[in-house]
Amino acid sequence: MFGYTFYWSMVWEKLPELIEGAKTTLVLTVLSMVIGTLIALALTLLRKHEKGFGNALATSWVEVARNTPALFQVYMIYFGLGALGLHFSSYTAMLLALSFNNAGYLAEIFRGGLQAIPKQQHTAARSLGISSFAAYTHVVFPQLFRIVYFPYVNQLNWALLNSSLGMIIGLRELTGATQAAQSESFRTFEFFIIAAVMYYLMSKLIEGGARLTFWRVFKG
Amino acid sequence: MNIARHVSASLLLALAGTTFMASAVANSTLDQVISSKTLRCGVQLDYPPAGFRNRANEPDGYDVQYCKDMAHALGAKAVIVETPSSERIPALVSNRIDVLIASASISPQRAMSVSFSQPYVNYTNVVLTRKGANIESFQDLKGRHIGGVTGTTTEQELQVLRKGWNDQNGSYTGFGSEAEGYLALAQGKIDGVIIGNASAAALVQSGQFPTLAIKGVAPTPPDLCGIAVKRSDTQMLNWVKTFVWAQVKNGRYRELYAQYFGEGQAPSLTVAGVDY
Amino acid sequence: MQFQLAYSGLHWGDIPFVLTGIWHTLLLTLLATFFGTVLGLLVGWLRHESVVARLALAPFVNVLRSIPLIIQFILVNSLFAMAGFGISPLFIGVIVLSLYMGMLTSELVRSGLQSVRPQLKKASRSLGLSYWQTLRHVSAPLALRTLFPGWIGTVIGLTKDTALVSVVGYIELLRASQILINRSNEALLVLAGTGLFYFAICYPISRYSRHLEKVMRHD
Repeated sequence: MFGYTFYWSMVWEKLPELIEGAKTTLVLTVLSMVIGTLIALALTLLRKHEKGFGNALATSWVEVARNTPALFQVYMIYFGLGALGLHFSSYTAMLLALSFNNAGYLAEIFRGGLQAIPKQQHTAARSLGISSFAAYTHVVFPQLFRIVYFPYVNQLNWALLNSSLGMIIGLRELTGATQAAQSESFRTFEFFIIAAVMYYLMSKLIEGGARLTFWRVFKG
Repeated sequence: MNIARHVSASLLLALAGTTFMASAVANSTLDQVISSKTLRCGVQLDYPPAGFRNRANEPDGYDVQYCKDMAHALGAKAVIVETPSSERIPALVSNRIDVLIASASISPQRAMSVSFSQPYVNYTNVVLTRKGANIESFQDLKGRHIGGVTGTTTEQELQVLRKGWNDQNGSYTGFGSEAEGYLALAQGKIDGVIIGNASAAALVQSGQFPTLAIKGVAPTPPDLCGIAVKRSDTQMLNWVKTFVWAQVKNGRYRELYAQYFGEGQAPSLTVAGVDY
Repeated sequence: MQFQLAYSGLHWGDIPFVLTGIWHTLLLTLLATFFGTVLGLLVGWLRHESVVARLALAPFVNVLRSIPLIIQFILVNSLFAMAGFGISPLFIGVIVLSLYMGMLTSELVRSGLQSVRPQLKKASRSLGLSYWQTLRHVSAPLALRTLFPGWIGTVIGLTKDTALVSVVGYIELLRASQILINRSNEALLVLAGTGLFYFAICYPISRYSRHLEKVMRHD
């Protein structure tokens, strides 16, 4: 094609490094979703109060996460906080930035989901003598997860794609590992097309896994 | 491949109707430069002092000046094109730049993709650390957090040395650029980096990072960098080689070295025992 | 002649540099929004009307949304390079982001058109309106109303995604500020300013979109 000669052998040689990167990508994505979900639930509860510090904190978190570029958030945590004396490795910085981002988006998804659950359910649970916290964890949240399931999986996919920003702060996730490998041999296209295929497969893996889980948990 | 073909076909369609510069494949870049009176150099601008932006945010540095000298010799105007790591080769292959002057280490692997001139600059590696980090020589880096620039040959050599140490406590971080490595070092994210003597000397002299200090030489082979042209363009390559030779012969190499890398002996551009 | 290293504090002369970065961000956003929206309207309509188009475009849409934009920029850039076209980073950004924006918009358009009740279309056809008249006076206005808030959300996403074109050498706002940070070492100050700029653009738009959604839900 185009009179360009492809050298694939160099890519196969480096494949173990790319797979190692892909593993980092997956772990980073899943961890950041777990942390993001926990924070998002907390933010959602904080936003239930109309006023006060909790609401202000949660609202600013959500708005900043949603209205600034993810790459900006990565820079801020890696270099911006570094200037304040808070130092993170590129892995930790990436995990924090992704969790921050996920939490903001998920909190908004959860809020939308909560609006679909009648308030009376919480009240009814309370009148049965269940504590407010338990009413949330046993009555409200299980329904919430069902409603927000697909937007949630969407966000999981976003987290996967966003983790590629790690390259820019020197993290060897899939994109970073690819960048390093292409720089050694100057075969830019070959390496990145393989990375693209690997991202595609991971994304499909997540999608397929999500469908399966949904079917098992909610329909079974 | 399938995806590539799919994407490319759609893109080429999408491009129809828009203007673009098609390249003339037949002519040598050399003829094009001479007739158009412009020399476009691909330079990385986050590798001070080889390439950086000065106070006015204009490109400056050893590589930038080298490009200007080259343009002058060709009777052309120098155009500096900033090329990030993943853009270097596409830019060269697609004729967006005529030469790549980006402190690229010469390696047989890379030479399968581009043609290199003989070395035009020589970086020996030194240990750059923070004062008080308790690092006095290269050996002290064992068990510490160190860094380098992702994808460089220095990084590969460093990895080999680290493997030899069997280092359990230490860690290695690869950065996107040298500038980010310095920042990380100054901020205490890492305790040492292995960088070119020249960059290190200029950095310490600048007074911008008063906490940084050079502690000894790293036992890596000298990092000899070449100017890259399109692999098939032998005419351009021959001219560039002649130019590099002339730069040394005329004393301009020593002058540029002193200007950007500090006073001191400009290192030899050869490896003992072999011709290039 | 002693070498003067790049590092020097921020100064007023940096303002034009930052403004150029801002201009590049806005220019790329506007161009990609325009082309992406036109493309999205067309493709979305095609995907709604024609089964062939739906099937033919499905893998394309599928691929675009499963690969990080950074990699898309690098790949498209190398593809053009291999074909021998030297294209400016701005152009690469416009092409990739327009395709991306077009893909997202077409999804919105398709679901917007699907939300128009078939009875309405049948009714207008039985009143003697042609297919095109029905589309223009009945389906399109209704569909556009439903997809508008989603479209605004997509534009906000696009504004933020312009920051990624720096991987192929486009100096937009975030890259410009990174250059200033490398030179001046003032990470926090520069980043805070940059973040504020993106926020100042995106936040009001997202508020407006949420307001619209609320209004639409109530009437």
